[in-house]
This record gives sequence, C-alpha cells and structure tokens, in this order.
Amino acid sequence: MKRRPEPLRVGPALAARSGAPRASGHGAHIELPRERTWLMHAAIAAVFIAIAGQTVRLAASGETETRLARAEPLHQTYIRPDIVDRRGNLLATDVDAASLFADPAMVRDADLTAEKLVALFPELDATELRRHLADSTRRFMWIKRGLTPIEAQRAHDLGIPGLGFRREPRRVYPTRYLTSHIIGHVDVDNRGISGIERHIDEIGETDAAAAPRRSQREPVRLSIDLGVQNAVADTLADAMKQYKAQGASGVILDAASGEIIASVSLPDQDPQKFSGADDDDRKDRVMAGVFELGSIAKTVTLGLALDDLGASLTRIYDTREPLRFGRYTIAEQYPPGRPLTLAEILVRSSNVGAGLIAMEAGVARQRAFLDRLGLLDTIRTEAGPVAKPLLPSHWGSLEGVTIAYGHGLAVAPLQFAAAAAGLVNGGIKVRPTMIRQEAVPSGEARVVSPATSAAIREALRQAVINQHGTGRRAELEGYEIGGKTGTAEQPGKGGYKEKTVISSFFAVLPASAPRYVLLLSLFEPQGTAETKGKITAGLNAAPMTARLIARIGPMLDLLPDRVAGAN
Amino acid sequence: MPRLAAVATVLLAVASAFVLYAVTYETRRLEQHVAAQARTIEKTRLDIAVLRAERAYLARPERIEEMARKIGLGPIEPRQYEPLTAAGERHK
Repeated sequence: MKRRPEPLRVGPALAARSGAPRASGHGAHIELPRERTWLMHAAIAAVFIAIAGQTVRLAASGETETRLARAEPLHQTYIRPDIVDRRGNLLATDVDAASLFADPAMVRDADLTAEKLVALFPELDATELRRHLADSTRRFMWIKRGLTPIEAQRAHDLGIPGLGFRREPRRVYPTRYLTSHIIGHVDVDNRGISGIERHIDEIGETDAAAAPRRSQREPVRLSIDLGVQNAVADTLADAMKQYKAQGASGVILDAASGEIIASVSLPDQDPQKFSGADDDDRKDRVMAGVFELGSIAKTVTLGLALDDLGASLTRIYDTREPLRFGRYTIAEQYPPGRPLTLAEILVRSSNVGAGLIAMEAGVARQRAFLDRLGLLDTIRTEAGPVAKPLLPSHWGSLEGVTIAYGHGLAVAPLQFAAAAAGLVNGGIKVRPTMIRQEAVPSGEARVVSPATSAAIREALRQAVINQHGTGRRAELEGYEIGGKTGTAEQPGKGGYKEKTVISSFFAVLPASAPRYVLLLSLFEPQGTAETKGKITAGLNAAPMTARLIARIGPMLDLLPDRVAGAN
Repeated sequence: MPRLAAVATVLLAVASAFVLYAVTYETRRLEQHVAAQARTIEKTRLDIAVLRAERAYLARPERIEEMARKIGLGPIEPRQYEPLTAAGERHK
C-alpha cells in the first residue's frame, strides 16, 4: 500500500523538469513562445562563443605565415651534433652551404646553360646535364650540392634563368687528417655512412630538417685527445723515416676505462679521396688489420702461467734444449745457456720458455684463457667492427706453442691492447671505447687475480730495467715504464720472411699503478746504422715508445717521478 | 532608453573595430619583427659555426706544432721539470 503514492508524486516532477509540453498540462500554450525566444538567444550566443573561441585559438597558435606547397619532393637533410675530442676541441661540425639546383621548365637555352655550368664545374657530365635541362616537364634537379662560398658566388654571377640555390648543412672536419679514420664520413644528405658519424645516426642523435640550422643536441665527446693523437702521429712519422718502415701504428688506451686516447695508422687515408674501397696499404692498421704481433704475446702467456698454472715469478723452467715438433724446431734467439725463471722468460723473451708454459697448460686451457681475455671474440667499437681475430685452422700443441710466443694467432692491435690492459690493470676486463666515459664502467668480468696482475706488471717493469731486458731502450728517467718487445716475422710466400717484420712495443704506464697502456708498431722497418743493421723491436719500437712517452707524459697528466714525488 | 542603449552599442562596436584593427596591425608588425629576429639568430648561429670550424682548422695541432718549431719551441722534456721545493732551494 505504501508504494502507490510514490509514482504519482514523482511523475509530474520529472515531466516538469524535462519541459515536455504534454506533461505541463494547461499552461503549455502560454509558455511555448517564450521558450522559443530563449532557444534563439542561446543559439546566437553559442555561435558568438564559437567565433570568439576560434579567434582566441587562431591568435594563440600564432600561425600567420603563408605556406607554399611545393610540387617537387623536398630533399630532406639531416642536422648533426658536433663531434669534439675529450678536451672539447672541435673535430666535426655542420656549416651552412649553398647547393645549386635547376628548374628545367624555366631554363630557356639548355645547351648554353649546360656549357656555362660545365665551364664552372668541370666534373659535371655535359651530355647528361644537357639532356636533363632540356626536359621541360621536370621542375627540379640538383646541379651540385655543398658549394663553397666562392663557387656559389660564381654560379650566381652566371645570371642564368632557371637556376637557384638552396641552403643545406654541410659537414666539415677541421682536423680531418688526424682523426678521419675514426670519425668516418657522411653522405650528401648529411647522413653518417662510416665510423663515429654512422654511430651518431644509429643512436638517433640526428634531426631531419628541410633547411640548415644548428643542432640543439650536446656535442658527441670522443675519448680521443687531439694533442696526444698528434704527438703519436708525429712520433710514428719520424720513426718511419728513421727506421725506413713501410708503415706504423699506435694505440693508447686508458687502462681502466678502455677509452681510446689515441689511435694512429700511417700512411693514413686521404680523406679527400674516400671511395669506400679497401686500400690495403692505407687501411687502419689499429682496427681494420690483424697481425701476428710476436713476443709481446708472452705477456699473455705469463698470465696463463701465473693465473691458471699457479706458478710464481721465481719458478724455474729448463729452457736449455730447443723444442722439437717433427720438422719444426723452436729455439732461442739469444740462448742464455741456463734454466730461466718465469720472470726471466718474459724479460729475456724466451721462446722455449713460453712454449713450455703452453705445453704445460695444454691447448684447452690456453684457449680458454685467451678467450677469457677477449682475444678470440669479434669485438667492435663505436667507430665500427674491429677486424676479426685469425685463429689457426688446426690448434694442436705445436700451434699452442707458437701462439705462446706470438705466432699463429693474428689479432688487431686494438684488441691486443685491450686484452693486455685487462691483464695489467688489476685483472678487470677492458672494452675499448671511442666515447669519453665519465666513470670506469662497473660490472666488467675479472680476467685474472689482482696478484697475477701485479706480478705481470713487475715482470714488464723488469723487462725494461733489467740489464738483459729486451725493452731496456724504452727506459725513460722519471717515468716508470714497463713493457715488452715483439719482433714478428711476417708470413709470406712459402713461410715466414726473416727480413719482413713487425716491430712492436707494448708499454704500461706507470708500471706500478697503470693508467695507460700503449701498443706501438713499425711495419717492415729496415736496419740502419743506429740499430747496427738490426730490425728487432728492442732497437726501434722500444726507443720510439720512450720518445713518445717523454712527449705525451705531461699531456696525460703524468709528471716525472722526482717532480710528482717531491710536491 | 532602448535607443540610447542601441546607439551606445553601435558606437562601442565601431570603436572596438578600430581597436581590433590597430591591435591586429601591431601584432602583424611584431610577428614580422620576431620572424626577422629569428632569422638573424639562426643566421648568426650558422656564422658562428663557420667561425668555430675555421678557428679549429687554424688551431689544429699539426699547424701549431709547425709554427712552434719555427720559433724554436719543442715538446717538453722530463728534465725540464723541477719540483717546487727545488726551486725554493735555489733561491737560498
């Protein structure tokens, strides 16, 4: 009974609110015109509010410039960030350059126009140009892009109708001779096609644009130090002349972070003539070439003995007898005539000693150790892939022995330097990088124990200061240099060629607390009066390294000991 | 009274039309000015880029080295360093 009154009360109230005339009963006839008036007013107000709103929106968006639609597709170009070295020196930047185009429909005399253009730019193909200019259905074609200001002015002065300029960014390399092999190149649309330039595209640091403007992005800061790079290039060039070498290479790594401070290969590529084709004499030896580096590999073999075989530096090896494998005999270059300690194997560069270590370890352990150091991987840097290590097709005990003293395994100098850096820096793996690192990357694997690393450093130091050390010409007063020489005969037709060698020196600086590792090589040096006709690394690569360190020490923030200690 | 209101409204409308015209005109002028300024800024930035490139080209190490050697300078040698303490002793 209670439910009945409720619908009766609710019904009219709803009807009144909805304004339906049927429900409002008798008064609806009077209310109707007034409601129409209000409706009208509301509609007019709504229209005015809409107009006002649109006006405000247009004013706020601020788009007043007229837009022109172009029939020809816009040639999109890319804006790139600057590249600087670790100290902020400019290595690559975009500048504004004019590009010349033609509108064939507007060209009156195709023959004359083509003739004048070819006179100005002899590299243009006259026949092709004439054919395109005569095609009056076309409205756009490039004549030449990236003109110098003088060229642009001359083209402008021709006064030919139908020609026009568009401004485009153009990449310039103020220091190209020193860094071109690292930085790489861009194409005509300013896109990176090799080296660091390509890396910048891959990490998405470029911006598409229709007109030149400055990139708002932070410069890409390389790990390279331009001053050190120049000093390395200069020292190597001098040494090439002095020792009559065919080529030279040098790489300097930060021993902890793997930053590549300098990387030089001579003779270098001519950046003007970049064709993408492999030119073997001029390829980047540090990254693009693999070499058997000779006795500097004994540093690795020493690590194998210390870390995997539990040997100490004082352990005695009987190196008096040459090793024989069928028709191969592995003998000492300078037989000491007595057993040697493990340290002496490195200091005197004993082939037999290194071979004995490899035989003791066995192929599997040796291979696992080299793999742990990263000598068998294919590695890459931001500048591109590093040439893949060349492993022996069959790795038996003979190959194990030859690899132990530096033959049979060919790696890129950069890859060896990185592996060796891991051996001496306390035992942490190093990944070479071209980009400046704010901190030493954490979480890298341990390759050898800190004790092994310290023992290797001690042996490397001995190789420089011991009177029998092969690296004693690398000694430089004030800088505690440790290092190992390597004179590697190069494989040629019918075996190794005795007179064709790569002389290398691997250095750790300073030996007690390494901050840098260096690997410098001379390719095919000749004997000179100074070296008494010899071509061994101890007589050319070692003194060259000392000269370089004397020069770059201050740049690397290393002071000679007596000064650093006294202050 | 309604007439007065109507006249006032018309006058107001005419006045606001003038104001609107003036504001629009001024806005266009300012916008052109801003666009011109933006162009100048971009042009200057590009000029700066050219000058920085030129400066880097002129300051490239191999050029500085050549000039330094011409006036008799050379790389620092370890023996050229002395600790500060040694410098003090020399003066005694």
